Amino acid sequence: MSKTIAIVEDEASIRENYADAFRQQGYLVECFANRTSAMEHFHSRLPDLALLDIGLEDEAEGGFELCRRLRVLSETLPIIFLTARDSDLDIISGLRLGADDYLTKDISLINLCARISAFFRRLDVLRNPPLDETCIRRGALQLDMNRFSVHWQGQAVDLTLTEFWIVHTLAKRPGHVKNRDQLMEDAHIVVDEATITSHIKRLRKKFQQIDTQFACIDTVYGMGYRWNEKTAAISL
Amino acid sequence: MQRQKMRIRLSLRQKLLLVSLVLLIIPWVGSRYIHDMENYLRENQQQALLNRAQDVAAILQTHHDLFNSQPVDTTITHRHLYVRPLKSAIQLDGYANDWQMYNKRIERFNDANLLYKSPAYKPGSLKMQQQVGRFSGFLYVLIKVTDKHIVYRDPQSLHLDRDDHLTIAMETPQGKFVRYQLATIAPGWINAHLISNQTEDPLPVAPELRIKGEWQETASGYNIEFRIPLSMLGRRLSFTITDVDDPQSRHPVAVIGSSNNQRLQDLDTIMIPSPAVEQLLERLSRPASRIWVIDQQFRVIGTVGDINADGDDNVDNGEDPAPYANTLLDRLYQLILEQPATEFIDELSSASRLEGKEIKSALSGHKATQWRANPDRKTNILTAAYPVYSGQHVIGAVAIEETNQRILLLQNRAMEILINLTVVALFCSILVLLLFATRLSWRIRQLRNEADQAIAEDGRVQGTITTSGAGDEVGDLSRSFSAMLHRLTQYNRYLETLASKLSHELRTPITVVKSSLDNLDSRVLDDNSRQYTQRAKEGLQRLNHILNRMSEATRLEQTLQSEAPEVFNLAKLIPSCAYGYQQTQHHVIQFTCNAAASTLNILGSPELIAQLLDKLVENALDFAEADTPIIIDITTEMDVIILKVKNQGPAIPEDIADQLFDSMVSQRKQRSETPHLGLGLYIVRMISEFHHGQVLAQNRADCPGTEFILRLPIHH
Repeated sequence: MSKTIAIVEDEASIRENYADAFRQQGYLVECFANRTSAMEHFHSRLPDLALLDIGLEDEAEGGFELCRRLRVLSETLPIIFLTARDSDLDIISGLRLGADDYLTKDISLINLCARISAFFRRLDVLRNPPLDETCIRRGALQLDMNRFSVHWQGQAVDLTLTEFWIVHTLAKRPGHVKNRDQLMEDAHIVVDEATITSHIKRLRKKFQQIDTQFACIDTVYGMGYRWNEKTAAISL
Repeated sequence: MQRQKMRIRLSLRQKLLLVSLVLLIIPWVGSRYIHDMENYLRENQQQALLNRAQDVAAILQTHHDLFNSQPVDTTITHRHLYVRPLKSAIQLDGYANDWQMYNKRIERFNDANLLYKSPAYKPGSLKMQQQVGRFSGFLYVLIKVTDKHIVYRDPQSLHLDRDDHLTIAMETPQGKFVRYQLATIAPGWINAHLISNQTEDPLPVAPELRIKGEWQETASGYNIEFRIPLSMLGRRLSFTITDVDDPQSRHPVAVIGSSNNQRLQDLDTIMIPSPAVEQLLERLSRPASRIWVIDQQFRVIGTVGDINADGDDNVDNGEDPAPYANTLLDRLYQLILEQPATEFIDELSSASRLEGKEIKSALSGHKATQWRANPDRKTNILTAAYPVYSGQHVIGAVAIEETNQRILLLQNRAMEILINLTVVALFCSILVLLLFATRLSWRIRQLRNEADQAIAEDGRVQGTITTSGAGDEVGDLSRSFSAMLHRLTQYNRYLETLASKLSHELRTPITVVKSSLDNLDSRVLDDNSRQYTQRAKEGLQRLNHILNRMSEATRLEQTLQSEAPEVFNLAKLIPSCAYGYQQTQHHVIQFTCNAAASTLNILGSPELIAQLLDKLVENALDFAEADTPIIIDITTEMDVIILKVKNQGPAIPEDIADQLFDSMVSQRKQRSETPHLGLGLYIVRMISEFHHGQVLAQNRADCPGTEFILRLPIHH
C-alpha cells in the first residue's frame, strides 16, 4: 500500500515538481495551496507525511499554524518543513512546534526523497520492530540505524533526522575529523557552515540535557568536528 | 588644505564681538554732537550777554550825567587812567610790598616816554613805574624810579627843581590847573609843595600837607609812595619825574612821565567813579563777568566784576578749585578732557581804555559781540557791547565780558555723562552679545558633536540627533539633520538587509528551477539533454553559493544577538585553526605566538573567532602571490591581544582602505571561481565588534603586502 504525502505549498511550480518527483517514487501525493484547504482535508483524512511551507499565500506564518494543528490531530505524523526561510529563529520555532525536520528549499529532490523514505522506514520499524537490530555502540552512545533512534547512557535522545545523521557520521569513525562539507553530504542537506555550527550546538545541548558532562562532540577549529571517545569513556 | 590652515579661524563669539565694536560709533557721534553743541552754546551765551548789556545800557541811560562829566576832546588821544580801588589802606613806607597784589596795574615808562632829554642823557638810564589805587577817600600812588645817581635837594636852595623830583600836575575839582612838586633832602617822610604856575623856573609857593608820602632809596633807584585826597582831584592828573644827575650843575638830564605837565589840556584824564555809580554798577554785576562803561573816547569810566570766577587775585588757590578730582575716574577725565583754566592772564584787568572792534561798533550805534582768545590761549573771552544813548546821540557804551569756562564745564560734564553711559552701554551690550553668542555657539557645537557622533568613521549611522524644539534656524537645522539621519538610517538598513532579502526572494525561483531540473534528471534523457541539465545544475549550484554567502552576514547578525559569550583561550584555538589551514591550503601558513598562553583569555565565542580567522586567512590567501607564506602572529600589549594576519601581495588602494570592512565593498579586480560580494571583511568587523575589538587593514612596511590587525581586550 503506497504512502500518501501531503504537500502544502503556495508556489504552484514547486508544488507540482515535488508532486511529480514523489509520484515517480510511487507515493500518492495530495497538493494544497493554502492552510484552509489543507486543514479541511486533513480533518477528513490524514496523510502519512506532511511537507509544509511556512509562508502560505497571504499568511506569513501559515505553515507554523498548520504544523501546530496537525500535531494536535496526530502525534506520530511525520511533519517536515520545507521552506526558503533559513534563519535560526525559524528553524527553532519550527522544531519546537513538533516538526520532525526542517529543510531549506535548496535541498535536491534526490536528497528529499531519500530523507522521506528514511522517515517512512523509521515509522515502519517503530511499528514492526525488526529482529536483527543494526546498532552502533560507542561507549554510552547507542545508535539504532533502523529506528533512527539515539540513546545516551540508556536514555533516548530526541533528535531530528538531520541531527541523527550528523551524530551517525561522527560516531561511525570516532576520532576522525569530519569537516562541514562531509557532514552536509552525509546529512543530505545543503546549508552554509553557520547552520552546521548551530546544528552541532543544538546537538550538544540535547545530549547535555541527559548528561551535563557530555563533551564527546569536539570542535576542531578550521577543520570540522569529531567524536571524542576518550572523554565519553571518562564520562562513563 | 594648507591655505585653509593659513586663514584665521574666528568663532561665532569672536565674530559677534568684532561686530559689537560697531557700537563704538555711538561715543563718536556723541562727541560730534557735543562739539556741535558748543556752537549753539556760544551763540546762546552771546545772545544772553548782549541782552544783559542792553539792560545795563538802558539803566545807564538814566544816569547820563556820568558820561557828560568827562572832558570831550576828540583831537588828542589822551592817556586815560581809571583808578581802581584797593582792598586795604597802603602803609606809606616807601616799600613796594603793599602793592604786590596789584602788580597788574603797573604802568611802565622808559626812553619812549621821555618828555625831555639833555644831550648828557644816557639811553636806558632812567625808568619809571607807576601804580595807582584808591582807598577811602585817598588816591595812593607808588612811583618806582630806576636812577643810578640820586641827587637830593640842596637844603640851602629855595628851588625844588634843582634835584631829582616828582611833579604832580592836576586839575582841581573847580577846574584850576595846579602843580605840586615832591623833592627831599634825604630819604624819608616828604610833603608836596604847590608851585607857581609860571612855566619857567617855577618856585614853591606853599607846602601842601595833604599830599604826603615816603621817599625810599632802592637798589636801582628810589621809590616815592604817597597819597592825595580824592577831594583835591579833578578830572586830569599826571606824574612826571625829573632826573638830575650832576649835584654841581644841578641841570635836569631828562624828564619822564605820561604827559606834558605844562598845560592843563595836556594832562592825562583820570576817572574816579563816584560811590553812587559804583554802587549802581555793583548791583548790576554778576559773578564771573565784568561790566565796562566806556565813553565816546573809548575811555573806561566805570568797571565792576571779574571774569575770573575765582576772583581778582586767585587768593584761594590753596583750596581745590575743581568741583571734582575726587575719584580716580574724575582724574582720568581731567587727563583726557580739556579743563577750564583756573588761572589765566586777563590782559584787560587794569585797562583804562577799551578799543576793541565791538566797542567801536557799539560807539557807532551798533550792538556787537566778539570772541577773543586771552594772551596765554587758556580761555576764550566773549565781549558783548551795547551803545548808551542820550536822546539820539551815542554817549558811550556798555561792554560785558565773560569767559567760555561755563560752556567748557557744561561740555565736559556732558562728555563725562556720555562716556559713562557709553561705557556702561558698551559693556552691557557686549555682555549680552557674548552670552547670546555663547548660547548660540553652544547649541551649534552641540549639534555638530551630535552630527559627528551620529555617523561613525566608517560611515555607518550609529546614533540619533535629538530634535530641537527651538523655532529658530538652529532648531530647523537640528530637525533637518535629524530627519536626514533618519532617512540615512533607513537607507543603510535597507542596504544592510538587501543581501538577505535578495537571497530569500531568489530562493523560491531557484527552487522552481532546481526541482524542475531534478525532475528532468530522473527522466530518460539523451546524452545531449543530460549535458544541458548538468550545466544548468552547475549554474544553479553557483547561484546557491552566492545566496548562502549573501545571507551569511544576516544570519551572523542574528547569531550575535543570541550568542552568550564565554571565556576561552586563544592559545588553543588559533594554533588549531592554523593547523587546519596548513592541512588544507597550498600556501605556507606560519604561526608565531609571542605571548604567554595564560594571558590569551578572552570573552566571546570560539566559533565566531574561528570564523573571523577563517575570513581573514581566506582574504589573505586570495591576495597572496604564489608560494609566499601567510603569517599569523599573536602578541600582547598591555591589556590587548594583537592578532595579525599578513600576506605578500598587492597593496590596499588608499581610497578604499576606510570602507574595506563595510558591507558589499570589494576591492577584487580579478574574477575568481568563487563569487565575492565583499561580505567577508564585513563579517570580520561584526565579529570583532561583538568581542569589543578593533580591526584594521594596512599595507605592510617590510615588504609589499597587507596586514590585517585585530585587537581584542584580554579577559582577566
